Amino acid sequence: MAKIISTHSFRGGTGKSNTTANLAVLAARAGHRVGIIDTDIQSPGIHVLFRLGPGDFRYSLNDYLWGKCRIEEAACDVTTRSIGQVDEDADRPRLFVIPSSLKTGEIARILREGYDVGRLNDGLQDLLKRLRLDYLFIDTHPGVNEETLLSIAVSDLLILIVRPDQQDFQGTAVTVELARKLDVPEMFLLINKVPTGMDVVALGEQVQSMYQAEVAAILPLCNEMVRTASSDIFCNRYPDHPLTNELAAVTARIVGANP
Amino acid sequence: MSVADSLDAPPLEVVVQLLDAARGSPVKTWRFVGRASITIGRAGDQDVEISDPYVSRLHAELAWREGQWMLISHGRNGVLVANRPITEFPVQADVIFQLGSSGPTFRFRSAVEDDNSRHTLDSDLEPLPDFQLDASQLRAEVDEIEGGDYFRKLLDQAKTLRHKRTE
Repeated sequence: MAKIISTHSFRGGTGKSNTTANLAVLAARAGHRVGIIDTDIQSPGIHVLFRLGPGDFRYSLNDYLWGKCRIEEAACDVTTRSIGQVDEDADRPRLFVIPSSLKTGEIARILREGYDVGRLNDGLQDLLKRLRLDYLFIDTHPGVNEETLLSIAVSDLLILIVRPDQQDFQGTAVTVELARKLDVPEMFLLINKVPTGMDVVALGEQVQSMYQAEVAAILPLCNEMVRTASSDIFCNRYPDHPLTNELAAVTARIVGANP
Repeated sequence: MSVADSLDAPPLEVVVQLLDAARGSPVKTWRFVGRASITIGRAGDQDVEISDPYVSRLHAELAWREGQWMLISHGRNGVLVANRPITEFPVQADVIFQLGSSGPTFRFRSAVEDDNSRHTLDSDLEPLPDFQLDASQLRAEVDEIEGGDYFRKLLDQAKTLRHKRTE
C-alpha cells in the first residue's frame, strides 16, 4: 500500500528539507516510485536541492491549488538528475518533485488569499494514484497551521525533526500531542545537527523520555553538510559518509515493511 | 586503569551515567569496553571524575570480580543503593547508586546493547543542557489548537482521509 510520510519541524533551520530530500532519494534508490511535495508554500526549498529553477517546471503546487492544472502536471520527474540514468521503460525507480512556486508574487498571493486545504488533500490522494507512488513525502511548513495539521492527519508516518534546542523541544511537544490526538499510525523523531562533544546517549534517552516517542536517529552537525549548502543531495555527494549511512538506516526502516 | 584490567577483563561495553537529581534522566555518559575496574571520584585521575564537594577523591569503584561486577564504596560519605549504605554490592545488569546521602546519583549498566558501541571510551563529553518542557504552556497551546473548528473537523475526518486511498 502507498505510504504518506510527513516530515515536520516546529521551527525553521532544523534541516527538514535536506533530510526529506535525502530520505526520498534513498527510498527511490531502493527501487521505489517516490514523490516529494513541497507544502512549505511560504518558504519553498525542496526545488533548490534538486537544482530546479523557475524554467524547469511549468506548473507548481500553487497553480494546482488555484485550479489552473491537475496535480500530476505540477510533478517534475527528477529521477535522472537525482539517482542517475534508469531504463526509460522501467516503472521503478522514479522520483518526482512537486515544487511550490518560487515567484514572490505568487507566494504573496497565497499568503494573502489563503487556499482550500481540502483541495490540497485531494491533490495528495490524486498524486498517489496518478503517479502510482509507493511513497509520498510531504515537506511541511514549520509551525502548526491548517496545512500542517492536514498533512499530519493523512500521514501513515510522521517524522519530527528537532535540534538539541530548548525551543525546538517545547514546540515539537505540541506537534507530538496533536499527532497522537489525530491517531497517526507511526511517529518517530530524528535529532538533527547534534554538535560534536554532546552526549548522544544521554540526549537520546532524555528526548525519548520527554516525548515518550522513539528517537530513530541522532544525526551529527557535520561540516560536509554545511559546505554542501543545499546545492546538492548530500547522500549523492557523500555516499560513504557516516551521515549517509544513518539516513540510509532510517530509509530502510521506512521502506523495510513495504518492499 | 588498574592492573586488574589486563586480567580477565569483561569483553562487553558498560556505561556509567550521571543522573539529573530531580528527574532521574541521564545528563552525562561514560562508556568503557574491556575494563575490569572503573573508579569514580573527585580526583583528576579517576575514570569518572566528578567535581562535587560531597564526593571523595576516590569514592566508589566498579570492579569485575569472578565474572560479576561489584560496586565498592571507598568514600568517607559512603555509597547508597536504594537509600541503603553498601560496602560491596553485587551488580546484576543495572544499578542506581548515590555517592553519600547528599551527593550525585549514578546509574551503571553492563551488557549494553547500543548502535553506538563503536565508541570505546567517551569520557570527554560536555554535560547535556537540562532540557525541560513547560507542561502548562504545552497544555495551553494544545488546548487552543484542539479547541479550534478546523482541528475538530479534522479529528472526525482523520481516519477517513488516511484510508480514502485504499478504497
